[in-house]
Amino acid sequence: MKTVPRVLKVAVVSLLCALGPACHHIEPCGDERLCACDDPSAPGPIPVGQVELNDPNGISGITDPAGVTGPTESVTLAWARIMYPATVAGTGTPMSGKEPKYPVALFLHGRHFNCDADGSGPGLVGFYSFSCPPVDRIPSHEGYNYIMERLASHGIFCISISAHDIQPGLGVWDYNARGRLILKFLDKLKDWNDHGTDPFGGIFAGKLDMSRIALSGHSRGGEGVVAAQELNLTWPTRYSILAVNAIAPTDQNGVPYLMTDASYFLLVGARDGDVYNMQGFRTYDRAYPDGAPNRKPKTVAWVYGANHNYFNTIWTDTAALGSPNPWAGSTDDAGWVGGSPVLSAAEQRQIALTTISAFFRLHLQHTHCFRDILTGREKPAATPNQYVYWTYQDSHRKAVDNFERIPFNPNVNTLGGAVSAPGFTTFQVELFNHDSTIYPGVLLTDHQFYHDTLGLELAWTSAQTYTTDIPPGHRDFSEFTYLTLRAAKKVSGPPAIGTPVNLFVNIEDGAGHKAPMDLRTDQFDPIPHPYLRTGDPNQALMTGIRIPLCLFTKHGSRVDLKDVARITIRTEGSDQIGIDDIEFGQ
Amino acid sequence: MDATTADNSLLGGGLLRAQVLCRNALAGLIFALLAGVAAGQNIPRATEVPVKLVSAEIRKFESPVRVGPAARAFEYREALVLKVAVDRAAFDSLPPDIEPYLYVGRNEYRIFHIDRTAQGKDLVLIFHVQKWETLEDGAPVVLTIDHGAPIRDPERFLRQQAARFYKKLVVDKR
Repeated sequence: MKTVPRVLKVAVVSLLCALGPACHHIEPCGDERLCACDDPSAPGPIPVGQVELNDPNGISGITDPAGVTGPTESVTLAWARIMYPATVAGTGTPMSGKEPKYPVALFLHGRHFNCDADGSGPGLVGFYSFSCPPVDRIPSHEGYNYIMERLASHGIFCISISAHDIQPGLGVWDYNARGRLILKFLDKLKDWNDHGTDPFGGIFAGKLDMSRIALSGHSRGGEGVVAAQELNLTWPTRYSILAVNAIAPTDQNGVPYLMTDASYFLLVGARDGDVYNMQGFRTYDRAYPDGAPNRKPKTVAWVYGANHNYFNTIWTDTAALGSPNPWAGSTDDAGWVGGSPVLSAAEQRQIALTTISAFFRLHLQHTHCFRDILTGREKPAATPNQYVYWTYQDSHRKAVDNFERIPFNPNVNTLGGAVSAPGFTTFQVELFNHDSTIYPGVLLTDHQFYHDTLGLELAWTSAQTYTTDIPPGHRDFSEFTYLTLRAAKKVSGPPAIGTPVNLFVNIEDGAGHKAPMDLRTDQFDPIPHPYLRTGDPNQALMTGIRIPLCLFTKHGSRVDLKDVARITIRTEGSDQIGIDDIEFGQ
Repeated sequence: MDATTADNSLLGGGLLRAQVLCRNALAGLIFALLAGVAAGQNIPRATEVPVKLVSAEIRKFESPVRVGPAARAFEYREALVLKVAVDRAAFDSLPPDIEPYLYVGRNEYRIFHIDRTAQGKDLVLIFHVQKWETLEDGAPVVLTIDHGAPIRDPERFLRQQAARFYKKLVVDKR
């Protein structure tokens, strides 16, 4: 119900947006709303306290001398940095009393040299050791302090734990151990909270809300947080893990871990020179498929120009960090990639800070306006948004076509409707996968797509139209607000600069009503040319397109969202794409 | 006792303490070995590490090996235990997070165990092969971070100077 004239609302919003540089939000259908959220990367109002945990025998129950349920190597070191909302800033100061309890965010780094030949001295020679002297241990877990400090200032207890004992490599147990290490630390926090047993004078007693937990993991730690979330399902003290963030994660366990019980946010750099086969996208593809119980939202931020290491300050070389970092292994991992554009380490960290803060504060503190950062609609001013390509799929969504049918049949969609694509030079369903799949059997596969999903490949040399029909009985989409799909441009040959792909989308109802003009996808989300890299070039990775349904119904189109009969996708020029998950969602 | 457990008996405290005590003495050697490691983290790098087959023994394990989360775990009681030696510096100079996989022909295997107890130039990696009967005689044995490459492009690996798997190397220790 409108109680304020629209002109006045627009004026107020414009004024507020001009005053507050963090706000860029205008609703697409003329229903502007006030800007409610600050930039999530901005410092919060609460002083930050911090402590270091360093207990050589603080972890037990991961090692198994028999090698049946765990690694034979000794995993016992409990080493962590903790930052928390405090009464006053400082080391070991009491926790803030503003809230009775504070939610918990846990961070886990990835694999890196765990031992520096000369400790924190000037040499940069590192290696892997199961017996590294304490002074030489590389504190990879300190590399996310820039995120933890901000989250703590907004009222979130943060702990970043070390995987020091796992770093030399535990073979078949590597990822399981990382997941269990997380859960063991949660056990420890629970004990601190319930019994006041923390070694800092009981400052955390009764202060931790163990019903609101978020996990963030980087690289093998990213696989570790996904593992922890799944292992938690059968953990004796099952925790309420609400949100899982994986930064450039691996997906290398012999049996892949799956997201099953928490919202998922995947953050990956296109210039990654370590996990350069972008295997983390597979974890996203597999998360919460159609028919899965207990679906949660899932999100990707695909960042052009970001490498693997610069999300962690301990892994960032002195020149890029802008301050001395004497720890071994700090480097631009993407030196061999030859990518363009290249983000600075500071830009890369800013993206991580903004997006992870938004994700955690959305799920731990129910700050709902941050959701629009994760959909890509809200673009905080401090963030180099032009390098970030978003995909967002809500827990509540309905697939028109997810292409998940074997044997492949591009002519029928998931709802049983007919699909036609006359004139396209390629129109076939394939497995989009580069190197590792959970799909059984031998399937027609396109290795240029670094995913693990079935999708549709389309190629055209002149204007064509793809049409997917929605059969009666499935046509009511009035409960949804967006038409969404995932798409990637496919190119071959030597790496070269290219233009994005544009698709022209429309929907038509059973009475033949449709929007007066097809909607260009680049008005909402671009389908970019593959990131320009000479090492392992032309990687095709899908990004999301979200078109507000209200744009199909405005201007008197009379399109009835209770009777959507077909979706059309028109192409122009000449190009090739992979497409997946044509859905209605929120 | 399986092969892995036997290897890990070397992880006794005495040896570990000796490693710590000898740290300074070994520092020069480590430095020399790892100079290439530090350099190798920021320049174009090899994706493969040459391997030498050390042994191939069919073993029966006292307890089943169980891999994967509970709901989807699989287990096995016997396997062909393949041990391969790699140059320590070359192996540790691979990018740290992407894991090298072993390919025997078109079959892919993940590392079961990394034996770092031996002091020297080489590391020993252990792999468990469950369907060893399917391995092809003369198949190239490749350790690479280029996941799937020996499957996508087997001809490339047939041509190159890789170690080869021969069935005559297999010893049944069950």
